[in-house]
Amino acid sequence: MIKITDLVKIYRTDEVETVALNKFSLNVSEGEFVAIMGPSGCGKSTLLNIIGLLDEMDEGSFLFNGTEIAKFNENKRSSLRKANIGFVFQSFNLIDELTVFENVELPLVYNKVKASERKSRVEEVLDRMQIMHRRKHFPQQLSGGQQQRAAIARAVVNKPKLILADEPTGNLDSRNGAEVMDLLTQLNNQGTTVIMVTHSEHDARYAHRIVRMLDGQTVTEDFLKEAAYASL
Amino acid sequence: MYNSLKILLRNLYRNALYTWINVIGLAVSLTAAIFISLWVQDEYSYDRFYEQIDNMYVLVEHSIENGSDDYREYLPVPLARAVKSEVPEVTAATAVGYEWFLSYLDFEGNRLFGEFQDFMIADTTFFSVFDMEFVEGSPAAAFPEANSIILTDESAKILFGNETALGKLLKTNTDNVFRVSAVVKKAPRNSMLQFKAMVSFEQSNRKERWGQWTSRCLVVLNPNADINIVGKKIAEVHSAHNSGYKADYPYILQPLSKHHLYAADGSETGIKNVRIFIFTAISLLILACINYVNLVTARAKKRAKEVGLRKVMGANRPRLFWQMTVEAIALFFIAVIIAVMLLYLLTPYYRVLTAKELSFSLFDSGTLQIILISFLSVVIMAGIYPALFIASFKPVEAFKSNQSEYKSRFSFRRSLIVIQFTCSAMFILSTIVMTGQQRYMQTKNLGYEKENIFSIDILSNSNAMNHYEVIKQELTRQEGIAGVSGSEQNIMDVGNFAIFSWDGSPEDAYFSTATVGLDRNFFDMMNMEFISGHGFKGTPADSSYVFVNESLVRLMGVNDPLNTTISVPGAGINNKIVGVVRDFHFRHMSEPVGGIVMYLPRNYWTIYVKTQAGKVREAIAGTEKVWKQLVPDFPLTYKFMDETFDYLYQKDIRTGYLFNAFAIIAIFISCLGLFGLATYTAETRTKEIGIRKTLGANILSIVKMLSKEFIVLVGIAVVIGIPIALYFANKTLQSYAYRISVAWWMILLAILIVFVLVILTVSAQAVKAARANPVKAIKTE
Repeated sequence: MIKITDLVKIYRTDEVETVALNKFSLNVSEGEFVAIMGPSGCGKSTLLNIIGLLDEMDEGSFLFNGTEIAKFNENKRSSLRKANIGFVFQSFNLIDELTVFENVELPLVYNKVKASERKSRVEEVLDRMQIMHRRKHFPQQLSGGQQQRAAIARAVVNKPKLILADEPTGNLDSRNGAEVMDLLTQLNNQGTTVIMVTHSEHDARYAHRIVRMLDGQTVTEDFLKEAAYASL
Repeated sequence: MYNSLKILLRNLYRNALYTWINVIGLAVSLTAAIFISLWVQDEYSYDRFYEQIDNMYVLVEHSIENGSDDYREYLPVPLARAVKSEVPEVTAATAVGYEWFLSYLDFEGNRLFGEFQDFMIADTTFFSVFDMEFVEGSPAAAFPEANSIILTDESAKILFGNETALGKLLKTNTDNVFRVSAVVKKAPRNSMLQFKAMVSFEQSNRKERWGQWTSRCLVVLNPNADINIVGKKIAEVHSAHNSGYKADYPYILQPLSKHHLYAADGSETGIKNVRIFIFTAISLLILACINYVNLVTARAKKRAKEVGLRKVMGANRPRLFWQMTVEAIALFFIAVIIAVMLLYLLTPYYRVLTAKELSFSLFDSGTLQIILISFLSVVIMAGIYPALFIASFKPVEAFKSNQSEYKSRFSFRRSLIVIQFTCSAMFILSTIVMTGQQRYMQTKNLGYEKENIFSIDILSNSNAMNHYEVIKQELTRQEGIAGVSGSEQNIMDVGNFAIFSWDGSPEDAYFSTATVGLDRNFFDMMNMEFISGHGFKGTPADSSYVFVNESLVRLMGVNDPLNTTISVPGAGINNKIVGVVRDFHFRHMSEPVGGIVMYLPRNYWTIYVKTQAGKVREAIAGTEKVWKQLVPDFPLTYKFMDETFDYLYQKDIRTGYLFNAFAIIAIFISCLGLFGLATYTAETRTKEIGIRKTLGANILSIVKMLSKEFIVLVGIAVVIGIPIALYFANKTLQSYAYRISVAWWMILLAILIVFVLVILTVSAQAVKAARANPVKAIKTE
């Protein structure tokens, strides 16, 4: 599904050049659950942003479902993104001014789904995430676990093929963290590809494969289990 | 205090954009407000410097003809003397007019030229009414002889250099000799009297003529006099001396102090503009203050933490309030400094724009007053409210980054935005309507041609006047000249009026009409249209022909004007009307056309030269040649009719420009504030924008989201502002006898302009925010 070859990403400030990703390569098959680990500043989040089509790359090739997207402009990336990718963030990134329902509804709005269909799809996913009863609340009226479930609901409501999770349990206690990891595993079992950046060895164990990074490059890869639909 | 100042400077520096929006908004509005006040002060200052101003009045004759009021300022010359001797309340009086036939004064070859307005003629009592500063001579012996002449210091300098003027003899183009009896300081520009030299009626045959209404009459009243009683007495005096005049209506005494801003009937003329400008100045200041309030309160959340911390450390409310107020004051002073620089810098241009000799001085009491007043209003409106608002934050809530706490206050800010754009919408629509009215006046068919025709004023050029026919013949032969004609007064500005009657006119009422003499080919050359009858025929009978316009026929109320005999004693007319001309504009369009009688005159005061299309230069060259040949002692001064027209309307045009300029400034200030708020909104919503983009929002939807609120607010403002502007625009238009009506497209255009401006202002920021990399946005915590 994802085939990244010799990816280079350099951050330039006034006089300093920081190489975030240095000839990085990665393949992820459909249905895989990949955890990416590494110390702070090794390039994990940069990688995730590039895979998520939020950030541009400087060099290299990035095939998404066989399409080269290295040269895509913002509009093309945006439409590819909203149709295929869901995001889960450490800090949840729910919009404070919108209710849970409205937050979850947003991707459908941007994908021009009809209002009647939106309602049923949002309710279905809220139900699945067990926060249906909180749908009219604002994010700040929820616990951290509930907020993250709402964020996951928002990430999956559009039935994306790929979920990108950036330390999804980082702001949660262990019980809520375990719940979130179970949810991601469930989604993966249903066929969604998951790429997760994490600091937690424990969380990484949920994945099929752990990619360990250092200074913008892959150091080791641990294969933990076969993906349900693996076709490497 | 030191601490406050330090925080202040840092705050201003760190928030440079908002600081500058506030400072520039305030500075520009202060500059404009002070400029407006200079203009307003000048308008109010007219004639106020005369010592007896509180008791000085201009006499205005009032009559009602066929139900419509008629007011006249030009009166018979002897009236002033009669009034002074027969009305006890009148302590001084003088007639003042123009000595039309003078065009230069000559001292041993040194010539002082002037237009007819430059040479005045007055009673010998003139200086008992008007006090002027004497450089040579004295008020008591101002006109010792019939041929005395008084010069201004400027005129004396031109004629005599630094020599004394007193007693010197001056020759004139009329072959008279005048002896200089005094030199006075030139009257200030804001005096109704502007002249280069003044002679007395003692040497004029107008002195005893009750039938010629050719001079103003100014009187000084006893302070206790009742002007209504005096008005009645004056009418009676007039009628006692002139049997043709019926004392049906009392004279109106218009205070000289109001002469510049009000019409003779007391209706508002110039004062309307003064009010509009005062309103504009106040609006400008309010708009700038609103910017300040909005930006300070909008950013209150950012300040909340600082304020909360200070409270925790023990600062009390008054102290915090003081700190915020000091900020407002400091900002204001920065604005004042910039405003003062702008004022000094722009005054020369403003002088050109207003055609007034305005001068800006920081230490002028008026300027200081304005600065003080705006200082107080800025500090109260822009300082105290935000200061109270911010100082009232509760520390614990302030620490929480939950902004919903302050949401309720947003409605106040919203209403301020609505107020600002209500003003903007009003200014925009007014500008469109007034520009439309001006364009209408400028392009209105006057009833005669004004393109490619220039006129030469020969009223005070006796040589040219005496040789009119020869000059005309010679000019007609020149290349590039399509036609030459003549009239008495300039057709664009006819000021001669006379009493007239006709077969069957009511005995007990009298009627007045404008009169003008026209050359035989005038109607043809100027393409004037006849409703009935015919023009001049080129036969000796021409001299007995009388023409009238439609308005006069209407006034007379006769069915068959062509067979009606009309009598105008003042112009020596008593003949049958032979032609009715379609109404044409012979005076300013603020007045209705009115009736006019036309005839073949004995003398011509104005020559009209019609040029062939594209041969204007040849025509002028030809005219110059003829002039040098036939009238060598007079310089040729010609004016295209377009220029004459512009001159007649220059006050309206100037005021229009000025209003437009200030309206644009007002709109600019509103947009500046909106720009600040939009920037701020985009800033505070960076994270939300980032999230939305991550979820698939495109730039357009983000821009829409950020602009929506402002557009709704401005929509409300338009709904409020347009009807108000319509009301005032219609009211202003009423003062023009010939006016446009507000068209739907003007309203539409105004609305369009408001929205385009708002969308441009807001979306610039919105687009920037929407294009920002979402990665950065979602990371900012």
